[in-house]
Amino acid sequence: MRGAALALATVGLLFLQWSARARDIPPIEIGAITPAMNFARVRIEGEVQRRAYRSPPQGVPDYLSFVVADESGEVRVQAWRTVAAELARSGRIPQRGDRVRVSGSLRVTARGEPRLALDAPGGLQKGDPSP
Amino acid sequence: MIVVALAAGAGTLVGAAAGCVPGLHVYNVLALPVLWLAPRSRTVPAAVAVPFACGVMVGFCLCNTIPSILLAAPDESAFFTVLPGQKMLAQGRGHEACLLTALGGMGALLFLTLVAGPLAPRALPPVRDVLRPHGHWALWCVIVFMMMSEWPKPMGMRRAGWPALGAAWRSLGFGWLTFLLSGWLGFILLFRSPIAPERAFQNLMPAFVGLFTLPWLVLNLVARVEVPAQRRHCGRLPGSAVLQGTAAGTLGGAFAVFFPAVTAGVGGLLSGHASGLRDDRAFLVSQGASKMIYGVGAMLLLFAPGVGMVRGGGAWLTQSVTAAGGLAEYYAALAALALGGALALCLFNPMVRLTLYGLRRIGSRAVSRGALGLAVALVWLLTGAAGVTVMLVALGIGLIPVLFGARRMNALGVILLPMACILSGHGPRVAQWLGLM
Repeated sequence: MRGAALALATVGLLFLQWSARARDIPPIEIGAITPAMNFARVRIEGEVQRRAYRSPPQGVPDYLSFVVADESGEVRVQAWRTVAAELARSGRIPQRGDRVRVSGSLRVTARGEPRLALDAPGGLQKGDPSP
Repeated sequence: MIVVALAAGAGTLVGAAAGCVPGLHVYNVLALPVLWLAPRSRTVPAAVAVPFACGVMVGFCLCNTIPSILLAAPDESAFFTVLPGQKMLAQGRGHEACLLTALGGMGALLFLTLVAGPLAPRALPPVRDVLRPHGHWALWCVIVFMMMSEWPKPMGMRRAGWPALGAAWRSLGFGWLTFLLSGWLGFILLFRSPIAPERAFQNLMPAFVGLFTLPWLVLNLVARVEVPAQRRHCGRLPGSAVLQGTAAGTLGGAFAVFFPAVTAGVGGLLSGHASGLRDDRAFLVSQGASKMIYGVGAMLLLFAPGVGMVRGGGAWLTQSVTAAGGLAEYYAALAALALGGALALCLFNPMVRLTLYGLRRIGSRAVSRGALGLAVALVWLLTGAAGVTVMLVALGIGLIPVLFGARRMNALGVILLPMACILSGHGPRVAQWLGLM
C-alpha cells in the first residue's frame, strides 16, 4: 500500500502537471461570469473603456486598474505592486480604446462588479488579438 | 427577528446534520446553493443569508468532531483532535472526548458573542491595518514552525551511523515530501486548474477531500477496526483545565482566522504548542475552541462593518451569494450565533448517542463505506471528472504521512506553500518555473 500511495502521488502529479502545461487558459465572455467562477483563471478580450486608474498618480504605481469591455459586458482589471510597476516601467499601461487580451484570476462577489486580478505582466497583451 | 431566529435555527440544523456525516464538509453544503443560484444571477437577501450561514457554521463546528473522534474521519481542522480522541475512544471514553470538544466550542462561542463580537467593528480595523503588511512572513514562520515542530518517531535500536540517521529521518523525510508534493498540487490548482472555470469556486475542494477525508476512510476499511463499547459516564474536569484549554484554543483559532491561508488545523497546532497543554482532556477542549473561533470568527470578520476580511471557504461562499455590510446585519449575525449555539448544544449529546447507536448497529466499516461513496459523489457533482482525478492524486499524497508515520498536517502544503509564495510576491515566478504561466 505504501508503494501504491507513492506511485499514485508522483505519477498523478506528473500527469496533472503535463495536462496543465498542455492546456491553454480558457477564454470567456465577460457576460458569462458568475459567482461560481470565483478564483477561475481565465482570459478575456475587449476594449479598454476609460483611462487607467493608478495609485499614486505620479511615479511608480503600487496599484493599477482599468475597465475592459466586450459585447457582453465589462470587467475591472486590477494589478498590484511589482506587476503594476513593471507595466508602468515598460510603458504598457493600456489607454482608452486599446484592444487588449488579459489573463488573470477572477474575483466575483454579490456585492459589486467582478474583478480580474492580473498577477503577471505577461498576462496583458495589447493590440488586436484577432488574426 | 422571527426571520433571524428561523433562519439561524434552520442553518444550525443543517450544519449539525452535515457535521455528523463523515465525508461531508460544511463547505460542500454551502457550495450547493451557490451552484444553483450562480447561473441564475440570483442572490439571497441578507436578512436570511446572514443568520442561516452563521447557524450552519455554528452547527457544523460543534458537531463535526463527532465523526472525527468516533469514526476517525476528520477534516483538516480536526486531525489534531483525532489522536487524543482515538486514545479515549479505545478506552471506551469516546463520548467524553466529544463532550470535551463541545465544551471548548461553547466557551469560544461565548467569547465571540459576548466579548469579541461587540468590540470587533471598532477594534479590528486598526489591527487589520497593522497586521496586513506582515501576512507573508507570518505565514512563512508558520510553515517553518510546522516543519520543525515534528519529532522523529522511535524506530527501535539501529546500528550507529547512516542506518540510525536514516531511520530517525525517515518519517520526517516523508513529512517534508508530503508538504512539497501537496504544495506542487496547490500550485497546479491555483494557476492552471483542470477544473472547469464554471466550477472554479470549488478548485481546492477535491484536493482537501483527497488529502484529509479519504485516507482515514480508506484505512478504516482496510484495517477492519471496530469501535469498542463506549460508556456514558464522564470523569470530573477541573475548571482551570477548561479555562486553560478554551483560552489556548481561542488564541490559536484567532491567529488562524486572521491570517490568510492559515486554517483551523494550524490554529489547533499553534494553540497546543503555545499553551503547553499536557492533559489530553484540556487539549481536546482547546481543539474545540480553536475550530469554533476559526469557523464562526470568519463569519464575523465577513459581516463586521468596516472590517471587510474574507477568511475561509465558508466566508468566500457566503459572500458570493449575499451582500451584507451593515450594523443591522452584523448584530443579526451575533444573535444567530447565540441562538444557533444554544440549539446546537441541545442537539449535541443526542447526536453523539445517535452516532454511537448507528455504529453499533451498522458497524464502522459500513459507515466508512457509505462516507467514502458520499465524498466521491460530492466531488463528482461539484467538480466533475477533473475533480475526481485531482481527488485521487490527493489521496495518494494524503496516504503518505499516514502510512509512513509522518504528521498529516504536512498536507496543508496544498494551500500554505502557494499562498506564502503569492503573498511574498513570488507566486507567479514559481508558477512560471513550473511552466504553469
